Amino acid sequence: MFVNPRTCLLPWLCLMLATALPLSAQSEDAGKGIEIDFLASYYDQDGDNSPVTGGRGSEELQSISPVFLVKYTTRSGWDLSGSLGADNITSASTDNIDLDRNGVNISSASRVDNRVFATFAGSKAFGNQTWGGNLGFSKEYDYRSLSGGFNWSLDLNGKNDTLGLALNRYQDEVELYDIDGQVEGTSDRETTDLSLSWSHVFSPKTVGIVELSISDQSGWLSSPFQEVILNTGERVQERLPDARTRTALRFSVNHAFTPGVVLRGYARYYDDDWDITATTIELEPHFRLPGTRPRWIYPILRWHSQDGSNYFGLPETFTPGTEYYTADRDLSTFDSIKFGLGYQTPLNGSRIKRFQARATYYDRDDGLTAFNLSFGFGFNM
Amino acid sequence: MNRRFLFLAALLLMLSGAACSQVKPWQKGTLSLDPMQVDDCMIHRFERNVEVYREGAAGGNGGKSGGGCGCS
Repeated sequence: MFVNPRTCLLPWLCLMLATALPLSAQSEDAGKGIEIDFLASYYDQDGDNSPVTGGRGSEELQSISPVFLVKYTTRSGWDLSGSLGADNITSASTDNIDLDRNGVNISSASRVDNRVFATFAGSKAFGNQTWGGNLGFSKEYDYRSLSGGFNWSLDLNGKNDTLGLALNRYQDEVELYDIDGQVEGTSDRETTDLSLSWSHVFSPKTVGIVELSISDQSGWLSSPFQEVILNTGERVQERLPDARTRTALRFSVNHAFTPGVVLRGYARYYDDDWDITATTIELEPHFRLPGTRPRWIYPILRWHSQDGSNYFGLPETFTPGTEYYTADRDLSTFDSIKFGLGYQTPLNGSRIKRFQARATYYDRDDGLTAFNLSFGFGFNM
Repeated sequence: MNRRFLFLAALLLMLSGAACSQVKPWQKGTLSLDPMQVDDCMIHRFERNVEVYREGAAGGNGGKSGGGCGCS
C-alpha cells in the first residue's frame, strides 16, 4: 500500500532524461529547443469537520507536489509534451483508513501517502486546424487512473476567433477501504469530460473565452472510508449515487488598461445532478514593475459560493433508512474566499528563462482554511 | 436561475462584440503579454487541483474532474 516515491519517480526521471538528451542535439535544426519547467507546490490545510471521522475531527493535511514538464517541437511541426509529478501527502485523518497487512496504521500525521502521475501529449497544426491527443496515468495507495483524450481547435477570422473541442476519458480503479480500514475489494469509476470553447479577440486590448464543460461519471463515486454518524449514533459508510453529471460554463476576459496594467477576470457557473450549484468569480489585476524585463506582480482574489447537495448532512441527522448520505463538507453549502499574491518574470543571461510564484490563503465559512505556495522555473535547452 | 441569466447575458455580450471586431496581426502586440493569455499560468494548476478536491463544483476551467482521491 505504501509507495516509495523514489521507486516510482526514478525510472520516470531516467526515461525523461534519456528522451530529452538525444532531442537536444536536434534542437538547433528545429528552431525551437526543449523547454523544461520544474514546478512545485506546498499546501497546508486545517479544519474540524473531517468526513473520514463522520464530520467531526481534524482535517489537517499537508501536501508537497513537484512536477516536471518537458515540451519539444519537432522539425515537422509536432508539439510534444510530457509531465511527471508526485503528491506527497501527510494527513491526520487518513490514520483511520490506511492499515498494513497486520492491521497497523501506516498512515498518520507522522507518515506519508504518495500519488505519482505522468502524462504525454502531442499536437500538430494543419492549416487553421490543430489536432492533438494525450495519455495519462496516476497511482496512489488506493486509487489507479488511466486517461486518454483528444483535442481539436479551429482558427477563424484572421485568428481572432478560435473554436476548441476536447474529449477526455478517465478509467479509474478504487480500492475499497471501509471505515474500519479493511479492504473490501476494488471497484471501477469512469469519467468522460467534454469541453467546448470559443476564444475571441475583442480589440487590441481585450481577449475573452467562453467554455462549456460537461463531465459524466459513473461507478463507485463515494469514498468508502468516509463515515456518517446516524441519528442512532451508529457509524456507517458514506453512500452516494453511482452516477453524476456536471455542467460548468466559464467566461474569462483579459483587458489591458495600459501596457503595464492588465486585469484578468474569470466567472463560472456550475450545476450538477446531485443538486449542487455554484458561482465563482476571480480577479487578478497584473501590474508591470519598472525595468526593461516584463516583471509582473498581481494580487489574487477569488470568491466561491456553493449551494450544497441534499445528500450532505451534519452528524446525527440522517436516519438509517435514508438512501444516500455523506458528511463530506466539500459537497455542502458554503462560501469561500481566497486571496494572495503572484509574481512572474522572464530571466535573461542564464539557463533559467522564466520564474513564477503564487502564494494564496483560502478561507471557507465552515472553518476550513488553507495556505498554498507554488513556484516554477523554466529552462530552455 | 438568476446566475444562469447573468452567464447567458455575458455570452450574448461576447457574441455582440464578435460581430464588430477584426483585429489585425500588427495590432496584437499587447495581446502577446503574459497576463493576456486566456489559459491559466502553469503554477495555477496546483490551486485548480485543490479546488477539484475541496469544492464539490469542479470543471469549467480546463482541469480534470476524474481521478485522484484527495481524501482528508
